[in-house]
Amino acid sequence: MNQRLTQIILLLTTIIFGLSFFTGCGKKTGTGSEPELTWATWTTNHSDYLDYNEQPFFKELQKQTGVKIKFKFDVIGEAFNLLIASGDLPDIIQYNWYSRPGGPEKQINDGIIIDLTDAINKWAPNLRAYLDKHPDIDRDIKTDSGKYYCFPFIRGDEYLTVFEGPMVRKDLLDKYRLEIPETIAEWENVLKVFKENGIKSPLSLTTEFSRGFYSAYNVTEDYYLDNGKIKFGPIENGWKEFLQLFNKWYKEGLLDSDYGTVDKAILNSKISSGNAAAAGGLAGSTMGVCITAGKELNEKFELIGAKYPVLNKGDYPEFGQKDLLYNPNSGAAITSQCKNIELAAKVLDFAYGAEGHMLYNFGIAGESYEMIDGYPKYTDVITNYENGDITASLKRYVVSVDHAPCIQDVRMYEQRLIYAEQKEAIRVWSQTNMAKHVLPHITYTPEETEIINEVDENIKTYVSENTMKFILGLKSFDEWNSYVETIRSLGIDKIIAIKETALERYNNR
Amino acid sequence: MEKTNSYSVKYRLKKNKWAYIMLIPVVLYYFIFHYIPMFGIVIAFKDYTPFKGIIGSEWAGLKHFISFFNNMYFWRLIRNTVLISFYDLLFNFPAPVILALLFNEVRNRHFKRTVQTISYFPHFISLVVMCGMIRSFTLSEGIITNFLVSIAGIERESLLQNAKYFRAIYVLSSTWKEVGWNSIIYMAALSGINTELYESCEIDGGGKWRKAWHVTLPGIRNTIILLFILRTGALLSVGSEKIILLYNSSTYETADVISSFLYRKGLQEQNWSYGATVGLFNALINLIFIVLANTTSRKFSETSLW
Amino acid sequence: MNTVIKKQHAAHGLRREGAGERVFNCFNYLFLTLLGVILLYPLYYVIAASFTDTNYLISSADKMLLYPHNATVEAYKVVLKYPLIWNGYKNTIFIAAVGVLVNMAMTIMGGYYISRKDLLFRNFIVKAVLLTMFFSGGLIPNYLLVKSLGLLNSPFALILPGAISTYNMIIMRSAFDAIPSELTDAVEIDGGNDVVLLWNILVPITIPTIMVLVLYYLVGHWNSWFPAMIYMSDKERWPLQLVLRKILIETSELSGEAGSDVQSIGEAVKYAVIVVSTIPVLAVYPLIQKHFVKGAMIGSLKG
Repeated sequence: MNQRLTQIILLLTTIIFGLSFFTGCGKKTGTGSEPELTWATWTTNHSDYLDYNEQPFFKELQKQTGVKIKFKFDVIGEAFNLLIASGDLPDIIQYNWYSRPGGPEKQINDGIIIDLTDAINKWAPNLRAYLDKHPDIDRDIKTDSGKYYCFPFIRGDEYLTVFEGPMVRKDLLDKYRLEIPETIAEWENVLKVFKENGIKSPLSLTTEFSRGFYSAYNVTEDYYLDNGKIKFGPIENGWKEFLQLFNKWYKEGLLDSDYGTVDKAILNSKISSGNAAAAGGLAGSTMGVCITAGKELNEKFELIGAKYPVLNKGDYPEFGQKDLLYNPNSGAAITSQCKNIELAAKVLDFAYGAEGHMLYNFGIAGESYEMIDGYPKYTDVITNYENGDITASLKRYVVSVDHAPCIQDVRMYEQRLIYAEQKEAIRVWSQTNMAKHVLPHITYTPEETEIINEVDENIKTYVSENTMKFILGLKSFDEWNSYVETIRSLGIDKIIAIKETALERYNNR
Repeated sequence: MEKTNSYSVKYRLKKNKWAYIMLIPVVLYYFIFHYIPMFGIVIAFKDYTPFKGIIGSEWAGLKHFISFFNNMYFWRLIRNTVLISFYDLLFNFPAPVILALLFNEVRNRHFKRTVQTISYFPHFISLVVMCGMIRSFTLSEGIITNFLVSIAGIERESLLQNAKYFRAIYVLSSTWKEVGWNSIIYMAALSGINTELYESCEIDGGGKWRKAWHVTLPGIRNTIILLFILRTGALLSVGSEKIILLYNSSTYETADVISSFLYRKGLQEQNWSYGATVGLFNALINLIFIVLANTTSRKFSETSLW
Repeated sequence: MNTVIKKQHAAHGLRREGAGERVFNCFNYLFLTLLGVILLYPLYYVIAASFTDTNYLISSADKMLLYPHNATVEAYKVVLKYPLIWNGYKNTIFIAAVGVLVNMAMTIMGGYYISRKDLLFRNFIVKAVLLTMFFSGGLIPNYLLVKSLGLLNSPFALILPGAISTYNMIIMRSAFDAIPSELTDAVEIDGGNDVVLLWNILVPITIPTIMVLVLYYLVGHWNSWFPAMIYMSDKERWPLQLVLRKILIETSELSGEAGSDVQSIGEAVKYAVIVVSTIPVLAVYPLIQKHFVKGAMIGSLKG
């Protein structure tokens, strides 16, 4: 009995003691030499290093700028919201400020981040010079009222804005004496030949990678620009024609019978095992991965990118995939709680200068890269990483692999793509007029955001659900008109109108 | 114990003073870690933004409730949530009880131990991996599809592409993953049954079935009823993770539930107030269900939660 | 009522079984064997996949894996090389050990109180506790609370906020409920107080249930990563599951176009990670299972 009692008392004290002891304990953080800047980012530091201060990039950044920086990683989603809610803001937050509800202007008005216009003009000579040279980007990274809100992530070359498209097994084309298909009719023929020769699902793709084929009908799955007007693809006639094509291919067994359920992993397995001979996907995680795995099973395996298909032979593809040079995913903003705005701005501006540019894109001279005939070539440290994954290897030295507030260098990307097929695919996929059709970074007022949020999700759900029904033959094309009507009744016109006003404001910047 | 009711509060406090002392940390815990944060519910009635905080955000009245009720998918979400949850209850509630009863009939101890230990393995495999397996097994050439085509003569297709199969796949895969794990509690309850009852039942000439019916089941009845009542209080809570891993746009018709809808909505915007509104709505409905279940149980058996 | 409980096996052996029962037994063994095979597959798959060459895994994601192909231990080398793994083990073991202790003490005390229908405020407290199963303030108030208690980056941020699972406390209560009231009355008449009654009499009788709850709480602590992600910014404090999650995220695709060009190792690592993190806790079950019978034997002593 006494023993039992002691046990209980012990437990109780553990609880109470635990509470009070650790109440005091939490406060001891931040002792020692205070870091001069704090920087929160959604990116992850490399798991090879227990402490980011050992990771070459972060070590070198602090050395070269001469500023001690305390980083906080993985600040994304819930963690980001909690950071904002906690009220203790770091000096710099690297996040997608553009997509925050109400747009970046609201974040400034709410007092979370500061208007960077003065800071960039005064203390960021490198970025300033770059923006003066590139007025299009300058316009894209501002708010409607002309304020800067972040140090942006910019792709330094148009080459970097294209990374997705249709692909096909070159060795099989050769085997059956076929040309690389260019028109939808040629594609159909190629797929038929594949089918006749026993390939289970000649064309396999996920719904999000179907772009290659609806592009032929001059639509996208989302909003796009057509002669300065904003349109919503899934209610256009081109979309109906695309659905009819896929419906036909699905019925004939040319399109994968698992079309609705294929995900990226299953897609990769279908391509690399040869169950599918044509696909849509990304240059990196589809093409690169499949070539490595496919070659292991079949020495002849050869996967190449095909041009975005067109309807009439000889036409130049109008639609395709294209990102903008400014990608808002990783804008580094300075918060309202930053004590030394000048220092923060200077540290961030470092990335846009000559030295910083090399560090962000190539790492440390003589260690991770060497200048050979004016070309920064990665050394063994990068290319001989133990399990051959160059992306993981690069991440230790080079943060522009992920999105980071800097200018991404095309020479980094060239060396990252390990197969010649990938480089060629990007060149081929770039041959479209998509640049004319991509919506620029327009921003909305809080009221507009509220209207969009109210209906946008319903429209997207309705569209994706019905897209699948039409393709799988669960819904007849007789119902096309009522489908369009429903989307209209959900308020698509209201959204398009909002987007057009926002576009007008954008053009007036 | 009715007799104590007539004594004064002071006497009763003194008589069971240790019970009350042991209660103190429990009450403190619930107060600090549940009741203090509960004021956060008010954000359902506000336009909450993290920066302004819970107190500083503007009031929005019933705006979010109205917006949720008027959503074109409202009824479909409710229907799918309730149906998936209901089938899950219908199937996965009795399954572990039955499994435990079957284990109980096994006399070979090594066999029993082995199978029992195996049965709880799947609980530890992460949902992502599990759902990856399910997705590949139900492709048009997958092993489950092959089996069903040859046994039940269904049409060959990707099963997860057909809205009609979604609920069955969802519920049966939960059985796969959790039946062994969930039977553990019943195994424990079974071991508490007085063996003499079995003996006297046998002396009365009772066979296996009578023993199961008159001794085993009544022995774990309380546990069953209690867990059942608790389960009814989760009728509107189908988690989003598994749904999102298994569904696709061709199965929204039967698969889209409240939580997956919120997840998709949350991708565009972290709408805390809207989420809190839906959470509050769920809680209220669940509360009604559990009160109903408890009242019913109290009427027909001794067992009740309160 | 007498509380003598003997080993169940004794009772079973008394009679000769009839034909119907033999058929039933046959089917039962057959059924359970089949079930065992089906339920074993996920674990088998994970183990086999962890030893399989990644390129094979990529090219056969749509097939059933029956044995490791091009067997390799590369994935384990990668996993065990991560510096945070061992640290994560240490943290998780501390959190799980202290956590389960706190959980059980609190759950047993709370369960005892709500099982005593004669105690003051009992009805009010039961209802107040049940309400917390339905209404919660959400993430932000909880975060602010933990922060104001100064628990950020402390392992107690992962222990105290979940000190009691109401569900488990109700299970505990139902075990106490099942004990005949004659027994508790007898203790009270002998002058034993609640502490004696609870810890010396009731706890030993309900060992099987307690063991189940230990398992529930233990596995709960072992598998939990979300609170750690929210409350622990300090990498050295991360529990195993959070470390493993980071490895999984890193080895799987990066954002959109930045996806890896080769996945030389990623897929198999995913499975090796699961094996490394799961095996220790799998080993615990047989230890706990023993008590399901033992508990019954302890009961027999009290007769």
